[in-house]
Amino acid sequence: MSFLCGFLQALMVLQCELVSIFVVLCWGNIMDTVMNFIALAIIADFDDFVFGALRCEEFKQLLDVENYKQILTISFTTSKNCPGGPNGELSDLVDEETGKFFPMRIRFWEDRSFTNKVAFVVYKIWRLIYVNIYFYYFPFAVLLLTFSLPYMGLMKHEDDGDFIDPPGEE
Amino acid sequence: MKRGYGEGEIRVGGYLDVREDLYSLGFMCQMKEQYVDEVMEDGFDRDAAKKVEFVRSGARSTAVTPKRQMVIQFEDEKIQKSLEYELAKKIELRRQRRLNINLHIGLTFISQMSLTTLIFGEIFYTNIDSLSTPRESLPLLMARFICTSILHMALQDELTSGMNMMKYAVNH
Repeated sequence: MSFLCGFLQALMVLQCELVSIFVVLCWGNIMDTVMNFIALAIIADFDDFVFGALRCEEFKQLLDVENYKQILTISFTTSKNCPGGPNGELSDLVDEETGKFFPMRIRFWEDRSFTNKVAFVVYKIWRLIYVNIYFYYFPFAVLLLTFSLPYMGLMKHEDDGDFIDPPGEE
Repeated sequence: MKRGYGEGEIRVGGYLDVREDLYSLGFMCQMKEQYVDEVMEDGFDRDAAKKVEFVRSGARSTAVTPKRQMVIQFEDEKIQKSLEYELAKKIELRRQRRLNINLHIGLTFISQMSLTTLIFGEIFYTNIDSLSTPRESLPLLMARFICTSILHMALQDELTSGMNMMKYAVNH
């Protein structure tokens, strides 16, 4: 469930940004572009509105820095630089069943359950998209699409046998 | 553990940073009860579970006279019942709060996704021609770029937070 919370947030953000790119591409003047863009950006803030509406929620205490520092300590790693297995480095968490410390490094095949493997693969795919596409290329996608979409439309018309005058040559 | 060039600082021993938003709240709600007990101040008697265990173990009712032992046992049963009731009440309350937050997350996500999907649909079914209309205006191009860049900067933090939560959940 905690994995799902992160996944839903990431999915929502990605979809909002994708839609905003297409909305921006739709309009032919600056005023309409900016106005519609602002209207759409509000959708991304829906979760903040709902969060603000949960006034008396006592679980909000968990989001105080001092509180989540105590809870969300990072105890494990997937780094290959950390020696794993029974003779590897140990974390500070104790397995309640065996009374032994957990190994610090989590290995994919040995230490993860099936669902955990699936979740890890999903996370890695997201990471791949984030690093390779989202982080640097999303703002520039609008510039690319501004030219490529009309070009693709032109190609389609030509394939259909229609001829369209290029802009400015009427 | 050694780190090579470009691999960043060691994160083990540090902590995960979460934002103040609904999804982070949902994430924090799923933490183990014992961790939540350590930091929450919701009137929950943190020692109640220990008291119940102590009373259950019967540690008080050894090495005394039989009459005294009966009194202690009777008192213990009363204490145990009241503590167990208190504990069960609090646990149920927390369970309901968690459910409430999860429902909020579900509804918010569904409404956000529905709206964005509807907009997508409208663009592709009714405004598809406007997408393929060539625009030559440089100011328009600048406005488009600025708009998407600003939204990108605003939402990037949120996406990173979501991914960090995913990673933490997978590794812990």
